[in-house]
Amino acid sequence: MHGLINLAIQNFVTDSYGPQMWQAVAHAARLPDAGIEAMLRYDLTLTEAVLGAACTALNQTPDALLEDLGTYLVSHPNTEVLRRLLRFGGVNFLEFLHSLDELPGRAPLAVEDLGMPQLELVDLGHGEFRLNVRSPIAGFAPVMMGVLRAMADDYGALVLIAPVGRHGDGADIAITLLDSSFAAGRGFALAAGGAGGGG
Amino acid sequence: MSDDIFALLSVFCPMHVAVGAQGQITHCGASVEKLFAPTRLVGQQFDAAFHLIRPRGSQGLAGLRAAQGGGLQLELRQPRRTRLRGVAVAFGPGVVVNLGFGLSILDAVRDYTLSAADFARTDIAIELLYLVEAKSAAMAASRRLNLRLQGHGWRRKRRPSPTG
Repeated sequence: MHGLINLAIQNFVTDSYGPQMWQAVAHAARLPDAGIEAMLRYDLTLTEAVLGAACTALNQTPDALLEDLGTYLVSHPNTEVLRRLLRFGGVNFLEFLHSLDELPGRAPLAVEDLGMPQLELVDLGHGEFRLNVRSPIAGFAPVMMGVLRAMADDYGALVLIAPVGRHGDGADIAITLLDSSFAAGRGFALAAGGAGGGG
Repeated sequence: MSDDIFALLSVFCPMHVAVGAQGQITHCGASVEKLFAPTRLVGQQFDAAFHLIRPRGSQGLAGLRAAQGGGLQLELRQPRRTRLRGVAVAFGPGVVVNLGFGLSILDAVRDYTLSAADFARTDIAIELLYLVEAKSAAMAASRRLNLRLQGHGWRRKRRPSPTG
Protein backbone atom coordinates (compact mmCIF):
# COMPACT_ATOMS: atom_id res chain seq x y z
CA MET A 1 0.00 0.00 0.00
CA HIS A 2 1.27 3.45 -0.93
CA GLY A 3 2.88 5.50 1.84
CA LEU A 4 0.47 8.35 1.14
CA ILE A 5 -2.49 6.14 2.05
CA ASN A 6 -0.80 4.98 5.24
CA LEU A 7 0.16 8.56 6.02
CA ALA A 8 -3.46 9.60 5.44
CA ILE A 9 -4.52 7.13 8.15
CA GLN A 10 -1.82 8.48 10.48
CA ASN A 11 -2.86 12.09 9.87
CA PHE A 12 -6.54 11.22 10.27
CA VAL A 13 -5.95 9.63 13.69
CA THR A 14 -3.58 12.42 14.78
CA ASP A 15 -5.77 15.33 13.61
CA SER A 16 -9.02 13.80 14.85
CA TYR A 17 -7.94 12.15 18.13
CA GLY A 18 -4.57 13.68 19.00
CA PRO A 19 -0.92 12.61 18.73
CA GLN A 20 -1.11 10.43 21.84
CA MET A 21 -3.83 8.31 20.28
CA TRP A 22 -1.70 7.92 17.17
CA GLN A 23 1.29 6.87 19.25
CA ALA A 24 -0.83 4.23 20.93
CA VAL A 25 -2.06 2.95 17.54
CA ALA A 26 1.46 2.96 16.05
CA HIS A 27 2.75 1.08 19.07
CA ALA A 28 -0.04 -1.51 18.94
CA ALA A 29 0.51 -1.99 15.17
CA ARG A 30 4.28 -2.34 15.70
CA LEU A 31 5.10 0.35 13.16
CA PRO A 32 8.78 0.87 12.29
CA ASP A 33 10.47 3.44 14.51
CA ALA A 34 10.98 5.93 11.71
CA GLY A 35 7.21 6.27 11.18
CA ILE A 36 5.50 6.34 7.81
CA GLU A 37 7.15 7.95 4.82
CA ALA A 38 4.80 9.43 2.20
CA MET A 39 6.70 8.41 -0.91
CA LEU A 40 7.51 4.80 -0.01
CA ARG A 41 5.46 1.66 -0.48
CA TYR A 42 4.49 -0.57 2.42
CA ASP A 43 3.22 -4.08 2.71
CA LEU A 44 -0.58 -4.33 2.86
CA THR A 45 -0.29 -6.14 6.21
CA LEU A 46 1.12 -2.94 7.74
CA THR A 47 -1.97 -0.98 6.65
CA GLU A 48 -4.25 -3.71 7.99
CA ALA A 49 -2.38 -3.75 11.30
CA VAL A 50 -2.72 0.04 11.66
CA LEU A 51 -6.43 -0.02 10.82
CA GLY A 52 -7.02 -2.94 13.18
CA ALA A 53 -5.18 -1.17 15.99
CA ALA A 54 -7.09 2.07 15.34
CA CYS A 55 -10.47 0.27 15.39
CA THR A 56 -9.58 -1.32 18.72
CA ALA A 57 -8.24 1.88 20.25
CA LEU A 58 -11.22 3.95 19.10
CA ASN A 59 -13.79 1.20 19.65
CA GLN A 60 -15.13 1.54 16.10
CA THR A 61 -16.05 -0.88 13.33
CA PRO A 62 -13.71 -0.85 10.31
CA ASP A 63 -16.49 0.51 8.04
CA ALA A 64 -17.29 3.40 10.39
CA LEU A 65 -13.61 4.26 10.83
CA LEU A 66 -12.93 4.15 7.08
CA GLU A 67 -15.95 6.31 6.31
CA ASP A 68 -14.73 8.88 8.85
CA LEU A 69 -11.34 8.71 7.15
CA GLY A 70 -13.00 9.49 3.79
CA THR A 71 -14.83 12.47 5.29
CA TYR A 72 -11.60 13.67 6.91
CA LEU A 73 -9.76 13.50 3.58
CA VAL A 74 -12.11 16.05 2.04
CA SER A 75 -13.17 18.24 4.94
CA HIS A 76 -10.13 18.76 7.18
CA PRO A 77 -8.04 21.92 6.60
CA ASN A 78 -4.86 19.79 6.53
CA THR A 79 -6.13 17.93 3.47
CA GLU A 80 -7.16 21.00 1.46
CA VAL A 81 -4.94 19.87 -1.44
CA LEU A 82 -6.95 16.70 -1.90
CA ARG A 83 -10.28 18.53 -1.71
CA ARG A 84 -9.07 20.92 -4.38
CA LEU A 85 -7.91 18.13 -6.66
CA LEU A 86 -11.32 16.48 -6.33
CA ARG A 87 -13.14 19.78 -7.00
CA PHE A 88 -11.38 19.94 -10.36
CA GLY A 89 -13.79 17.15 -11.33
CA GLY A 90 -16.76 19.42 -11.99
CA VAL A 91 -18.60 22.66 -11.31
CA ASN A 92 -21.41 20.94 -9.39
CA PHE A 93 -21.96 17.66 -7.56
CA LEU A 94 -23.60 16.03 -10.60
CA GLU A 95 -20.56 16.79 -12.77
CA PHE A 96 -18.33 15.62 -9.94
CA LEU A 97 -20.19 12.29 -9.86
CA HIS A 98 -19.70 11.87 -13.59
CA SER A 99 -15.99 12.70 -13.21
CA LEU A 100 -15.51 9.76 -10.82
CA ASP A 101 -15.07 7.37 -13.77
CA GLU A 102 -11.99 9.41 -14.68
CA LEU A 103 -10.60 9.58 -11.16
CA PRO A 104 -8.53 6.36 -11.36
CA GLY A 105 -6.97 7.86 -14.52
CA ARG A 106 -6.47 11.28 -12.98
CA ALA A 107 -4.95 10.14 -9.71
CA PRO A 108 -1.78 8.71 -11.35
CA LEU A 109 -1.15 12.16 -12.87
CA ALA A 110 -0.57 13.26 -9.29
CA VAL A 111 0.92 10.07 -7.82
CA GLU A 112 1.92 7.43 -10.32
CA ASP A 113 1.52 4.30 -8.23
CA LEU A 114 -1.24 5.23 -5.80
CA GLY A 115 -3.24 2.03 -6.49
CA MET A 116 -6.68 3.62 -6.71
CA PRO A 117 -9.73 1.36 -7.06
CA GLN A 118 -11.58 1.27 -10.38
CA LEU A 119 -14.72 3.41 -10.18
CA GLU A 120 -17.76 3.14 -12.42
CA LEU A 121 -20.81 5.35 -12.11
CA VAL A 122 -24.13 4.06 -13.43
CA ASP A 123 -26.86 6.68 -13.91
CA LEU A 124 -30.21 5.02 -13.13
CA GLY A 125 -32.20 8.17 -13.90
CA HIS A 126 -34.33 10.36 -11.60
CA GLY A 127 -31.27 11.35 -9.58
CA GLU A 128 -30.42 7.73 -8.68
CA PHE A 129 -26.88 6.49 -9.19
CA ARG A 130 -24.80 3.43 -8.40
CA LEU A 131 -21.09 3.75 -7.88
CA ASN A 132 -19.19 0.50 -8.33
CA VAL A 133 -15.89 0.50 -6.44
CA ARG A 134 -13.68 -2.33 -7.68
CA SER A 135 -10.53 -3.19 -5.77
CA PRO A 136 -8.97 -6.26 -4.19
CA ILE A 137 -8.87 -4.14 -1.03
CA ALA A 138 -12.39 -4.00 0.42
CA GLY A 139 -11.70 -0.90 2.54
CA PHE A 140 -11.91 1.52 -0.38
CA ALA A 141 -15.72 1.41 -0.61
CA PRO A 142 -16.43 2.82 2.87
CA VAL A 143 -13.71 5.45 2.35
CA MET A 144 -15.48 6.47 -0.89
CA MET A 145 -18.77 6.77 1.04
CA GLY A 146 -17.13 9.24 3.39
CA VAL A 147 -15.54 11.11 0.47
CA LEU A 148 -18.91 11.31 -1.33
CA ARG A 149 -20.73 12.62 1.75
CA ALA A 150 -18.07 15.26 2.36
CA MET A 151 -17.95 16.29 -1.29
CA ALA A 152 -21.76 16.63 -1.34
CA ASP A 153 -21.43 19.02 1.62
CA ASP A 154 -18.60 20.80 -0.15
CA TYR A 155 -20.77 21.41 -3.22
CA GLY A 156 -23.83 22.19 -1.09
CA ALA A 157 -25.76 19.26 -2.56
CA LEU A 158 -28.38 17.24 -0.67
CA VAL A 159 -27.75 13.53 -1.25
CA LEU A 160 -28.46 10.16 0.32
CA ILE A 161 -25.58 7.72 0.28
CA ALA A 162 -25.90 4.07 1.32
CA PRO A 163 -23.92 0.87 0.82
CA VAL A 164 -25.63 -1.66 -1.43
CA GLY A 165 -23.37 -4.63 -0.86
CA ARG A 166 -20.21 -6.41 -1.86
CA HIS A 167 -19.75 -8.91 -4.65
CA GLY A 168 -16.42 -10.40 -5.65
CA ASP A 169 -13.81 -7.65 -5.51
CA GLY A 170 -16.38 -4.90 -6.02
CA ALA A 171 -18.84 -2.99 -3.85
CA ASP A 172 -21.79 -0.84 -4.87
CA ILE A 173 -22.76 2.46 -3.30
CA ALA A 174 -26.25 3.89 -3.87
CA ILE A 175 -26.34 7.66 -4.37
CA THR A 176 -29.59 9.64 -4.51
CA LEU A 177 -29.20 13.25 -5.56
CA LEU A 178 -32.15 15.13 -4.03
CA ASP A 179 -31.02 18.70 -4.67
CA SER A 180 -27.77 19.75 -6.32
CA SER A 181 -27.89 23.28 -4.88
CA PHE A 182 -29.42 22.74 -1.45
CA ALA A 183 -26.88 24.91 0.41
CA ALA A 184 -24.20 27.38 -0.57
CA GLY A 185 -21.32 24.90 -0.27
CA ARG A 186 -17.70 25.90 0.12
CA GLY A 187 -15.91 28.23 -2.26
CA PHE A 188 -13.60 26.93 -4.92
CA ALA A 189 -11.43 28.84 -7.39
CA LEU A 190 -9.25 27.16 -9.99
CA ALA A 191 -6.32 29.31 -8.88
CA ALA A 192 -4.74 28.02 -5.67
CA GLY A 193 -5.08 30.47 -2.81
CA GLY A 194 -7.66 32.47 -4.78
CA ALA A 195 -10.95 33.75 -3.43
CA GLY A 196 -13.94 31.46 -3.65
CA GLY A 197 -15.77 31.69 -6.91
CA GLY A 198 -17.42 29.46 -9.44
CA GLY A 199 -16.28 25.87 -9.69
CA MET B 1 -25.93 30.83 -41.95
CA SER B 2 -23.48 32.99 -40.01
CA ASP B 3 -25.88 32.94 -37.02
CA ASP B 4 -25.58 29.16 -37.05
CA ILE B 5 -21.81 29.37 -37.16
CA PHE B 6 -21.65 31.80 -34.25
CA ALA B 7 -23.96 29.57 -32.22
CA LEU B 8 -21.59 26.72 -32.97
CA LEU B 9 -18.49 28.78 -32.19
CA SER B 10 -19.97 29.92 -28.89
CA VAL B 11 -19.99 26.30 -27.72
CA PHE B 12 -16.85 25.02 -29.45
CA CYS B 13 -14.66 28.10 -29.00
CA PRO B 14 -15.69 30.29 -26.05
CA MET B 15 -12.59 32.42 -26.76
CA HIS B 16 -13.44 33.33 -30.37
CA VAL B 17 -13.72 36.87 -31.71
CA ALA B 18 -15.42 37.65 -35.03
CA VAL B 19 -14.25 40.82 -36.77
CA GLY B 20 -16.35 42.60 -39.43
CA ALA B 21 -15.33 44.35 -42.64
CA GLN B 22 -14.55 47.62 -40.82
CA GLY B 23 -12.30 45.94 -38.23
CA GLN B 24 -14.96 46.10 -35.52
CA ILE B 25 -15.79 43.13 -33.29
CA THR B 26 -19.20 41.77 -34.29
CA HIS B 27 -19.42 38.67 -32.11
CA CYS B 28 -17.38 36.95 -29.42
CA GLY B 29 -17.42 33.99 -27.05
CA ALA B 30 -18.48 34.37 -23.42
CA SER B 31 -15.02 33.62 -21.98
CA VAL B 32 -13.11 36.24 -23.96
CA GLU B 33 -15.82 38.76 -23.03
CA LYS B 34 -15.08 37.95 -19.37
CA LEU B 35 -11.50 39.20 -19.76
CA PHE B 36 -12.83 42.69 -20.50
CA ALA B 37 -15.80 42.77 -18.14
CA PRO B 38 -17.60 44.98 -17.45
CA THR B 39 -16.64 46.58 -20.79
CA ARG B 40 -18.50 45.05 -23.74
CA LEU B 41 -16.23 43.69 -26.42
CA VAL B 42 -18.75 43.67 -29.29
CA GLY B 43 -18.68 47.02 -31.09
CA GLN B 44 -15.05 47.81 -30.21
CA GLN B 45 -12.37 47.88 -32.89
CA PHE B 46 -10.26 44.72 -32.69
CA ASP B 47 -7.10 46.83 -32.56
CA ALA B 48 -8.49 48.84 -29.63
CA ALA B 49 -8.97 45.69 -27.56
CA PHE B 50 -6.00 43.57 -28.66
CA HIS B 51 -2.39 44.36 -29.47
CA LEU B 52 -1.03 42.03 -32.14
CA ILE B 53 2.57 41.22 -31.13
CA ARG B 54 3.32 38.60 -33.77
CA PRO B 55 3.47 38.61 -36.70
CA ARG B 56 5.45 41.75 -35.94
CA GLY B 57 4.16 44.92 -37.52
CA SER B 58 0.79 43.44 -38.47
CA GLN B 59 -2.24 45.53 -37.75
CA GLY B 60 -5.95 45.62 -38.24
CA LEU B 61 -8.17 43.45 -40.33
CA ALA B 62 -5.67 43.29 -43.21
CA GLY B 63 -2.94 42.07 -40.85
CA LEU B 64 -5.18 39.37 -39.39
CA ARG B 65 -6.31 38.21 -42.82
CA ALA B 66 -2.73 38.12 -44.08
CA ALA B 67 -1.73 35.95 -41.09
CA GLN B 68 -4.51 33.44 -41.79
CA GLY B 69 -3.74 29.99 -40.43
CA GLY B 70 -0.47 31.03 -38.82
CA GLY B 71 0.20 31.51 -35.13
CA LEU B 72 -0.68 34.85 -33.56
CA GLN B 73 0.62 36.32 -30.34
CA LEU B 74 -1.51 39.00 -28.77
CA GLU B 75 -1.81 41.04 -25.64
CA LEU B 76 -4.93 42.57 -24.12
CA ARG B 77 -5.05 46.35 -24.20
CA GLN B 78 -6.13 46.63 -20.59
CA PRO B 79 -4.05 46.99 -17.41
CA ARG B 80 -3.31 43.28 -16.92
CA ARG B 81 -1.95 42.99 -20.47
CA THR B 82 -2.67 39.24 -20.46
CA ARG B 83 -0.83 37.42 -23.25
CA LEU B 84 -2.88 35.26 -25.59
CA ARG B 85 -2.14 33.06 -28.54
CA GLY B 86 -4.49 32.84 -31.49
CA VAL B 87 -5.22 31.81 -35.01
CA ALA B 88 -7.21 33.74 -37.60
CA VAL B 89 -9.33 32.54 -40.52
CA ALA B 90 -10.87 34.87 -43.10
CA PHE B 91 -14.65 34.78 -42.89
CA GLY B 92 -16.67 36.69 -45.49
CA PRO B 93 -15.28 40.22 -45.63
CA GLY B 94 -13.95 39.88 -42.07
CA VAL B 95 -12.10 37.35 -40.01
CA VAL B 96 -12.69 35.00 -37.07
CA VAL B 97 -9.91 34.76 -34.49
CA ASN B 98 -9.78 31.93 -31.97
CA LEU B 99 -7.81 32.76 -28.84
CA GLY B 100 -6.21 30.72 -26.08
CA PHE B 101 -4.11 31.36 -22.99
CA GLY B 102 -1.00 29.27 -23.39
CA LEU B 103 1.11 29.56 -20.24
CA SER B 104 -0.72 32.72 -19.11
CA ILE B 105 -3.55 30.39 -18.05
CA LEU B 106 -2.02 30.10 -14.55
CA ASP B 107 -2.37 33.85 -13.97
CA ALA B 108 -5.61 34.12 -15.93
CA VAL B 109 -7.61 31.70 -13.77
CA ARG B 110 -6.69 33.85 -10.77
CA ASP B 111 -6.99 37.30 -12.38
CA TYR B 112 -10.39 36.62 -13.97
CA THR B 113 -11.70 33.95 -11.54
CA LEU B 114 -12.25 31.56 -14.42
CA SER B 115 -14.11 28.34 -13.71
CA ALA B 116 -14.28 25.01 -15.55
CA ALA B 117 -17.41 26.32 -17.29
CA ASP B 118 -15.32 29.03 -18.99
CA PHE B 119 -13.32 26.51 -21.00
CA ALA B 120 -14.44 24.49 -23.99
CA ARG B 121 -15.66 21.02 -23.02
CA THR B 122 -12.78 19.44 -24.94
CA ASP B 123 -10.14 21.79 -23.53
CA ILE B 124 -7.54 20.10 -21.33
CA ALA B 125 -6.99 23.33 -19.39
CA ILE B 126 -8.52 21.82 -16.25
CA GLU B 127 -6.22 18.79 -16.48
CA LEU B 128 -3.26 21.14 -16.85
CA LEU B 129 -4.27 23.12 -13.76
CA TYR B 130 -4.82 19.85 -11.92
CA LEU B 131 -1.31 18.72 -12.88
CA VAL B 132 0.27 21.98 -11.76
CA GLU B 133 -1.45 21.68 -8.40
CA ALA B 134 -0.56 18.00 -8.02
CA LYS B 135 3.04 18.79 -8.93
CA SER B 136 3.18 21.54 -6.29
CA ALA B 137 1.85 19.15 -3.65
CA ALA B 138 4.38 16.47 -4.64
CA MET B 139 7.22 18.99 -4.57
CA ALA B 140 6.15 20.14 -1.11
CA ALA B 141 6.14 16.51 0.11
CA SER B 142 9.55 15.96 -1.42
CA ARG B 143 10.88 19.14 0.21
CA ARG B 144 9.62 18.02 3.62
CA LEU B 145 11.39 14.68 3.17
CA ASN B 146 14.64 16.38 2.21
CA LEU B 147 14.45 18.68 5.21
CA ARG B 148 13.99 15.66 7.44
CA LEU B 149 16.92 13.91 5.78
CA GLN B 150 18.99 16.98 6.62
CA GLY B 151 17.85 16.61 10.20
CA HIS B 152 15.69 19.73 10.42
CA GLY B 153 12.25 18.31 10.64
CA TRP B 154 12.29 15.60 13.27
CA ARG B 155 10.23 17.60 15.70
CA ARG B 156 7.47 18.49 13.20
CA LYS B 157 4.18 18.00 14.95
CA ARG B 158 2.79 15.24 12.75
CA ARG B 159 5.85 13.07 12.91
CA PRO B 160 5.23 10.18 15.32
CA SER B 161 7.89 9.74 17.92
CA PRO B 162 9.73 6.42 17.73
CA THR B 163 7.71 3.54 19.05
CA GLY B 164 8.70 0.63 21.29
